[in-house]
Amino acid sequence: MYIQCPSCLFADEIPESKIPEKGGNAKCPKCGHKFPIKRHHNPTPSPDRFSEPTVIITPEKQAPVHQAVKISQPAAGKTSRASVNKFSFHGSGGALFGIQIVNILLAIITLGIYHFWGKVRVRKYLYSQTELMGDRFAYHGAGKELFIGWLKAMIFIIIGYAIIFGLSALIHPLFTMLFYPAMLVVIPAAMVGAMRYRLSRTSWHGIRFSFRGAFKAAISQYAGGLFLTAVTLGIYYPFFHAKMRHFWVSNSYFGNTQFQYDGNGRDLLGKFMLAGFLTIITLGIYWFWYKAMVQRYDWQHTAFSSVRFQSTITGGGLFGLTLVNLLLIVFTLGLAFPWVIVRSLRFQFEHLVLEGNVEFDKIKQDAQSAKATGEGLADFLNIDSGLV
Amino acid sequence: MQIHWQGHYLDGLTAVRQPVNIILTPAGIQIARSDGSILLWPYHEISQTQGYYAGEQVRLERGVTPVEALIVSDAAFLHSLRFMASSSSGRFHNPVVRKRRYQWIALAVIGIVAGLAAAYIWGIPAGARIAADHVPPTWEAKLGEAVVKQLAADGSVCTEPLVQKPVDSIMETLNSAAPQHPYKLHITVVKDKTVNAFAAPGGNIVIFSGLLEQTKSAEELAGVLAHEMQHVLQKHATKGIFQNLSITLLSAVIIGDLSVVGDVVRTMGSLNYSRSYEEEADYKGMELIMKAHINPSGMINFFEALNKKYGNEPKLFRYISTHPLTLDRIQRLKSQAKTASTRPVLLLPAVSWPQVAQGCGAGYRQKTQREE
Repeated sequence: MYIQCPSCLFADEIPESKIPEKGGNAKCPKCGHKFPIKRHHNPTPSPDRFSEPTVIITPEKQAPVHQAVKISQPAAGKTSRASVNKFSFHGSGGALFGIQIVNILLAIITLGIYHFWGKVRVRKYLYSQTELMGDRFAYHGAGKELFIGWLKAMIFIIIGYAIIFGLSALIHPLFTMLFYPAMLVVIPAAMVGAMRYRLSRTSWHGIRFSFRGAFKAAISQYAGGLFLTAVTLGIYYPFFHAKMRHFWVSNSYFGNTQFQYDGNGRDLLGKFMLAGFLTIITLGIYWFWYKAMVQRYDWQHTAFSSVRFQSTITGGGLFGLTLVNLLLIVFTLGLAFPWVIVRSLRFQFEHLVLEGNVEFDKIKQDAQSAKATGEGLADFLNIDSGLV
Repeated sequence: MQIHWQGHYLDGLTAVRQPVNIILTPAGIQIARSDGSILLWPYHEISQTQGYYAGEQVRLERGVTPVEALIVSDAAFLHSLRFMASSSSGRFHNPVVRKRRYQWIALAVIGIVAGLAAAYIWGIPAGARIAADHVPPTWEAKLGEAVVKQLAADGSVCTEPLVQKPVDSIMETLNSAAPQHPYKLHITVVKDKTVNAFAAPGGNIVIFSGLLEQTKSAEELAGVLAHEMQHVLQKHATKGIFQNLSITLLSAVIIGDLSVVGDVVRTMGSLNYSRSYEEEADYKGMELIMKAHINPSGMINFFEALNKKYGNEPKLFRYISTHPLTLDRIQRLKSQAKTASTRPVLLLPAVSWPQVAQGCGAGYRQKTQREE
């Protein structure tokens, strides 16, 4: 029987007879993680689901659009075996290039103001080209609100700078040091704001996503995590990562349905230490393998409704993608940027599946309002809160 | 024309994607749901949100909270829809225009390339010149003071009158030949072994004693001073600030948030601009030398000597890296010097120049001792 350690993803084949009939606990020979195991229902060994994510297919696969004359609801969530749903990305670099080049021209003519409307056009395109379970994602943002959000963010930043420089000029130059604690507050706040805005403008199956994490929680987790990471000379970092990931994921909603993250920094600690060492030896190259492992881990520990994500990203794949992207940018002097975006998205989606059946009838619309100020601020600080 | 279509309906209340039958009628879109109910969407209430590009499904939306959506995966649906909607057909995308996009893209490429080239060659320098002309000389002086303060730290300024007096006198000769200007020119000699000199905005010119030691005559120093003086009079530093600023803004507009690329573009751009400033300072500097009846060979000889001595090690000697002493630059000065119409007068016939050139040497030695 094929079993896999949920912590380090080490996999092995063991005879099913070794497992007690009622199930038992297994200890991973590689990382020492203990986890419960049960006998499989089918005695035949199932192949590695990471290399072939489409192995398990339910009979209730969604009917193709054109056969939909006889209408029946798919029996969601009633089967014991999960279906595997792949993401697919249909966009092309050429079309994106066309959109972006016209955006640039209009941005130059309008002294940059069109940038926000251009951003909306790009996002609408990319979302519309992303498909999951037969339905496309949709972006509902507008250029005007992005522009207003950016203006507000700019005023906020100017006032912030004015206060800090005013204090340092009038009272004591040491007040410029206020800049650093201010960033510890502004960065997570901007990330929360951007996340709230972006998810609120995203829909799938006609249902809006939303982010409901509080600014205060983000700031304390971020500042606290950075502090502990610094104090422990980086050892705390995997815990910081898992905690932040937990914050981002478990405060995200699809309609009224909450996402869940059950990852833990402990699972990543050993790998992280090893990666730190190997990254130095391999002059940074090993970092791709570590990053791929973390992505697999994070997705595997992300769930909503009755489905769970699985990622099959590999370090080699990530390394190849990054290398080719870099070469494309360098040799075309940046002109290939749209193709790089499309390649990266396609890579991400190709390696991401959703296992299980979504109970669509239980998911209700529950949209939350959000302003674009945080998005504007994140734009200024050049930070991306992106999940996916 | 096809009136019957299949699609999916989202009611905006739950995530259930309902397969539906669609009939296009003159009154609107008829949507037949699985429970037997039929919805009618009048065309003027519908807006299209997806289906503008190849690979997209056609997505129609109606209403505000809850927003209902109707999705048809075949783009040919748009043709039938536009035909039936007649007067409201403008609400829906016409796939025929997709071919015209290539023309727009080609036009945009040409427009961007031409626009950027024009901006880079004419727009930015002209804009920087206009902006710099509007900066009051007192602001420039303040900025210059801050720069000089940083470079000429306490104790490193050479106040030796044996040096300052002849140097000021050369400056005076040059200044009296220059056209009227609002700047108060002042020379600071700094005890530093680097062979360098620079002009801060607002009229403060800094000469390192390392450079002074290399000069063999008053005429040679006059060449350097004339060059630096023109940097001040032509407001090169101020223009440079505006140029950097506008290149940064322009690249930010184009590449959005790729800040790293912006920095690279700006650095390359400013290097190029500073070279054209150097040429201008050379040309106008030489003009000034000749107008002041100073022997132009001094400037040429000095640059030539430096080029010979340090031309192969540009990074160590900053005067060469910021003032590239290329052969064609010297050649240009030579041909310009040939146009001199009057016979030069010796600058400081009564001064023994080597004494001036080494006048801050004590300070230089003192500094190296401190470094040890």
